[in-house]
Amino acid sequence: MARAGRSGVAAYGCWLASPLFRSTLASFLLLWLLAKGMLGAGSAFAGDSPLTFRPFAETLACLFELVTLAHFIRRPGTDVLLGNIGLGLAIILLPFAVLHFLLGGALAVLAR
Amino acid sequence: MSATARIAAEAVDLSRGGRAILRQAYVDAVPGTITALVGRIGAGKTSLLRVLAGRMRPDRGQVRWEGERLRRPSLEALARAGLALLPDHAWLAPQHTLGVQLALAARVSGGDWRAAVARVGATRVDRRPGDLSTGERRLGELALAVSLGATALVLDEPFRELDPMHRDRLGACLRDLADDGCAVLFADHDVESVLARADRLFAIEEGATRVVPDFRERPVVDWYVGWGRGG
Repeated sequence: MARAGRSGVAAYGCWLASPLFRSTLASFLLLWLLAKGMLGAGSAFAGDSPLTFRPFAETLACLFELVTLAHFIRRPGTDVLLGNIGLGLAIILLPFAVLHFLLGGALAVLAR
Repeated sequence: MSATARIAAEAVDLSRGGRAILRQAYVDAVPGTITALVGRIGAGKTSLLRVLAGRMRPDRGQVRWEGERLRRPSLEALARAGLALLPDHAWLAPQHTLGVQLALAARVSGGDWRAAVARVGATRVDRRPGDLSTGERRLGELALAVSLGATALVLDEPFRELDPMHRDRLGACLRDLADDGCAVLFADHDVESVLARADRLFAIEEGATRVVPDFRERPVVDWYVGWGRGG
């Protein structure tokens, strides 16, 4: 039997290259579009550009996306699979938080 | 703690909603042996396994890995050391085939998932977990633990709802892994499997554990799982 004692960094790299990450990314992008649509509708209602970057509103939207994504991961028990690989939920969700602000910022810059 | 234990939970107290679930509970897993944990439904077996595997934080107590006390035990930290947890509920990603998940595990550990599949006797790795029978899924989960190169296995009710063929296959696999130096710990109600597979036995009653030194007589195990007293 192969000896364990693995590095978390290696496990993280394998996760990012796996189809499991890609399907999680697809779920996140759908959530991001939904949240962005809601934010944009709110901005338009207030008379602003729908793509304006509002830090507080973006943070709330990001929290909504992460909580929902965590629910998608935990409900079928996939957090146990990721735990067995050596990855905790917080480290799994971190790149999606970064991606949220990158996408929101990029969109605001493009809309100027 | 046993001097040779690979993983151990010691003096664990756990309460929820004002009710004590675990009282100074102890359990461990020793390399090269299969340890069983038995008790009535609600006795605290699953809670103790969850504490041991870093999935639940106790009020008091500690988890040790190869004698070293862990400050903040978590499944991911223990898994990187060599633990694999196989809980009683489904835990494989439902939208991906078993093969995809085995390949991920093998890439993480640098192992060979096809060798793990052959060793365990898992089949239909091209299917999603939801398309597998309970026995096929359980063997697939074990193949994933083998792909990860786990040196300690914690299984919650692994024999539940298995047909005789898969029960025998799973039991033989656990023996094979233990013979290879793996520390195996499982909790189950299946008295036949406990008698046939276990080298050591812990019993848990109302959250308190005890070692059962002489458990080869069926009525002894029956008593602890509750069958011998109308449970």
